Amino acid sequence: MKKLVIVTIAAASLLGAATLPAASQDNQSAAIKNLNMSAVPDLNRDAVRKVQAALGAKSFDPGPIDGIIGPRTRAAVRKYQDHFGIKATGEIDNQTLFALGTVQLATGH
Amino acid sequence: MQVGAKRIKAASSIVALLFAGVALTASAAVTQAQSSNGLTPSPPGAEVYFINLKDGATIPEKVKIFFGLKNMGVAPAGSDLPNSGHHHLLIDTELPPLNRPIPNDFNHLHFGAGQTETELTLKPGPHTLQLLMGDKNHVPHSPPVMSARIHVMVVPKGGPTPSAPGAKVYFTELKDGAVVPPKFTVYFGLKNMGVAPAGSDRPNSGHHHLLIDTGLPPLDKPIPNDFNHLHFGAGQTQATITLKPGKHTLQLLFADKDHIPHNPPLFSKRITIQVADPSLRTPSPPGAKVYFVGLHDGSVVHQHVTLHFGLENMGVAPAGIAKPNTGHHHLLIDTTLPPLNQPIPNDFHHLHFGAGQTEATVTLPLGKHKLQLLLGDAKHIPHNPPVYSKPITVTVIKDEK
Repeated sequence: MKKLVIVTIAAASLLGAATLPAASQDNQSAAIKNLNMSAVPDLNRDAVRKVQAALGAKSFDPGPIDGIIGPRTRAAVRKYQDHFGIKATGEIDNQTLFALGTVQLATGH
Repeated sequence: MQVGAKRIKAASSIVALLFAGVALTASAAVTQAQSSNGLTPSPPGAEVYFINLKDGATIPEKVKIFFGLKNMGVAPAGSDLPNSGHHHLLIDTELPPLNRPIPNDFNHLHFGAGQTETELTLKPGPHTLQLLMGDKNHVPHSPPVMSARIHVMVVPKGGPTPSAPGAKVYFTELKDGAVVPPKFTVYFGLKNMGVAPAGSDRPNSGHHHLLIDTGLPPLDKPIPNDFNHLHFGAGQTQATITLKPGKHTLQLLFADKDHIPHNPPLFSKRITIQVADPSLRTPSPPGAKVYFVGLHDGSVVHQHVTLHFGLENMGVAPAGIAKPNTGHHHLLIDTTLPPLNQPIPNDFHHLHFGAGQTEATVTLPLGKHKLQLLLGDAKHIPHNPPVYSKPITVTVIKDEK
């Protein structure tokens, strides 16, 4: 009887553990769906470096990859936005972060 | 002993269930991992593009568009295969929000059946086109697989005769918003093609038509011949027309020997002009003419040059003196006629000779310049009808030492 109880408890906890990640991923999807795409998140230097690298990889030269949003970075952002039909504000908004493939910077993860 | 066996059976079936459960959640975890934040990942190097269209292209109203896709596969909407998606064509719109399903309307065409081409009908004028892949739920991938947004110009199809590439027809003098007297001359400009009389069968040629107060006629048929569609089948490159006071539209349309527009059609912008009421201005006598003495279109002059102003059938009087049949000269340099119902502006392009001068020594920069004479009345307002010379282009060369 004891063995059975131990085994059942172990099974239940395993199953529970296996389903936990699924629940948090649903929360993540909801967070993505409800994002304001024209919002401009605060980006730290490392995040800006990632954006500059992504722009450079697509041949929109942002100048040096220094993590600072200067005039050359803004110009590259504007050119990128205009090229792909995003409102060319020069601001690194969520729509632009999604377009560049840097979604994690938009969600803050 | 039997009780023990039952317990083992029960335990083993629970273990079996356990493994099944783990296996299920494990496989669920695998598909969830494919959509790592709710978005479907796109394969690296995936590219969607227009196979037969370039940015800046001129296209007809009905056009077949082919969708190219690299490093990725097309699958119908709803199908959950990795590294696949279906096409969407965005027309005259920005990229939709990349975190939601692509809207489904006239600006966002869905090709959820897996189509890789479409025939589109667009209104004449400028348009933007962009391709964007969507996953099984029509949500863009991450990173999104999108083409550049290209700009195209839709031009209605003309007749059987081709026009030369880069050919243009335009008003050389008249600008949109110009104010003109009831009787005025329109000059027709033509680039990269030649004028030939109607009926003549030379390639890269045609003749002018002036459309007055009407839109473009069907561009694949002969242009109608009436008061709104003036034909210049003798090969004329200018016309003097008389219009009632008020607003009018003018447009130039080039056509082949059979009066059918070319393909692609050659037409100017449609401009709006204002015909000024003549009763408000000083009359000029019939036959009055102003002209450059000793100078003509194509003349070569030195930088320091004396221009002589000729005047027939009228007299010169200084500004302020309102004697009938008189006026004073104005020299227009590198500019078009000013509004003819207002005082002539006074600047470096409009030189006034209000003291009654009949000649002027001017210094012109080197190169080609346009010169024109325009008479003004006592108040510097052009007469009715205005008295002006045909503009001439002179070439200015260095002075001899």
